Amino acid sequence: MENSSKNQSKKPLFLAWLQLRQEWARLLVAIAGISFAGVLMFLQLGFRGALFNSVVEFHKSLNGELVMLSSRYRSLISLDRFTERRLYQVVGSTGVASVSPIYLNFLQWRNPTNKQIWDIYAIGINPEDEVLQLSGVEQNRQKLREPNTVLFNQGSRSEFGSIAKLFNQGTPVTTEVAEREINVRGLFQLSPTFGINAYLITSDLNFLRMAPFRQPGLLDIGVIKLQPGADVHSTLLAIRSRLPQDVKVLTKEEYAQAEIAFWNASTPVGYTFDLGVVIAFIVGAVIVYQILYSDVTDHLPEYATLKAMGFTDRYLLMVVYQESLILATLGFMPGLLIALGFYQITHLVTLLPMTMDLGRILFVFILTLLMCLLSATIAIRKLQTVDPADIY
Amino acid sequence: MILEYPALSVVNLNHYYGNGTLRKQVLFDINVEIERGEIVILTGPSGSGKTTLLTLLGGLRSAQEGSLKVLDHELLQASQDQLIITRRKIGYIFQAHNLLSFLTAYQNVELTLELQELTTTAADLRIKQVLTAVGLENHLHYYPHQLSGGQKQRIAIARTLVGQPQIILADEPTAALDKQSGRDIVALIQQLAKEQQCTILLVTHDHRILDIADRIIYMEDGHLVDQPLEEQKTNFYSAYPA
Repeated sequence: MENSSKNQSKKPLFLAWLQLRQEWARLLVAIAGISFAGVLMFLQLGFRGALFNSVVEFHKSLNGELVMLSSRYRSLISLDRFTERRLYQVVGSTGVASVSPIYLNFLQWRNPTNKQIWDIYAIGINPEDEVLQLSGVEQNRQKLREPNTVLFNQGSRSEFGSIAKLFNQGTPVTTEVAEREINVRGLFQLSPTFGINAYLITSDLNFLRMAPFRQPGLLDIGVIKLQPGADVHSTLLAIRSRLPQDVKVLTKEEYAQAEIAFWNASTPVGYTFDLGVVIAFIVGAVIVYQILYSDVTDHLPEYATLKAMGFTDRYLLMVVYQESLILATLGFMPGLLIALGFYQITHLVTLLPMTMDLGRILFVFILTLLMCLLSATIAIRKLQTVDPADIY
Repeated sequence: MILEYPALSVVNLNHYYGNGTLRKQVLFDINVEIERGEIVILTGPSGSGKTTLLTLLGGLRSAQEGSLKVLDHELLQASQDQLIITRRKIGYIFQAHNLLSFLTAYQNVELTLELQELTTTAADLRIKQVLTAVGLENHLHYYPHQLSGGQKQRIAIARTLVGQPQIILADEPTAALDKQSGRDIVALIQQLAKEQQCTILLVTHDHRILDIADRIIYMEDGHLVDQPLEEQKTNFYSAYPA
């Protein structure tokens, strides 16, 4: 061991680190600045991800491979109806096991405590069909056969009343939906989104009682369940070819993607968060630039000496780039930890599903690296002005 | 038969600063040859062009007119890469020590060896030898701010010598030092240079060290002035009384 190390080439001096380490106060400021930028980026991406996760929670819970929609349907908050005849038309198709209708509408919910009225998103299902794979729905859907019964979602915002708390205490919860008295008979789990604050699930019959303005037989969503082993793609093509243009049939995945695309492109939300990431990136880049620029400026005579000794420009550039990469790495770690804390807090306050994933960690790390490299590239223009003849 | 060439050879060298109407000639028809192993002092009033000549010889500035050979390599119209190669053969000692503040004495000396292929042991040996030679064997891991002016200049000398350069160019190496430290530093440069058989060109105003030179050349207003050695010294003493 001792002998082998003796014959190795001399290890290069790690100038970048030695130089950063000298000014530890400046180093701490740099790390804090980069962490700050990282936290901002993580939060913006977290909100964006939470939004997109929450808007498709409903879609992903559908118990069926295919979904039928009106051709003018865009999103859960931009609905259009189609006749149930279209849905029953596909029952006989090869590969189709069963179909199930869903009614959707915002209805007026009265907070049982303070009597305020809030719009709640009502989902009407056939209580005989296992159509929503959400925890709490399957155990309770049979209870919806009784008139004027609903299930309420646990993740609803507090404006709707502490329904979940009351219900769990065993208190019978009675309130009004669209001026009709109803009983809460169970709870289920579905996150609020940026467009929907609370949900209730009821039977199709109860739904039509609460929404007398809705015409029976005009559906919002038709869920199509295939037979085990049936090929999704060929069944989808076969169904599409037999249906007129007033409805569209999508796979469950396409349906979820369409919802995300709607939020991303047709609302300001996607843009807002993308812009937030860009701003965070710029703020971080400016901070790193300031640090590297003053670092380079402070060491100009020393860099000139290095040039006079025969060091190449490339060597000096590498020192500054290495500094920027060290800063990126040191700043990223605390940023990630702080962001994880903020995710927890945000989830507790807003109930948005803020979750971190490896892809996002990598993405922000790459952005942080780019941010630091970009700043270094601007800061080293100062190096070009170093003239080794100036040291005499 | 081996062809002997001088360490430094300058023929009809002219140099200008500025462009267009602001162009001003600072060096006029300089001719000088310095043999290998020679110790030469270049002296003269401020602004006479000494430093300009030194930076041209060191490849720190691009030559414009005439011929300028360092170890038989022409620097006129040399590329940046060729200048960098030349710089690596030359050791510089500056008026300001120009040590890297964030490196220890040992690391500052080690820096020179970054440009050479050496094993860990060989590098370590050379660094310790040269720091011992300048009397700093007990200060290996001190940072420059922990050391006195004379000690810093000693590190700078060690940094230069560790690369075993064939030529040393020194600009006012004693200017920032008191009399005794100045003498010590010059004696050190002289002794170590003799041991390594290298050529030294030293720019100075400091008459206390003129006696170490094999030869003194005098520069005035961009011209090399030919004067006998004794007369030179007399003039010099009267121009710069102790």
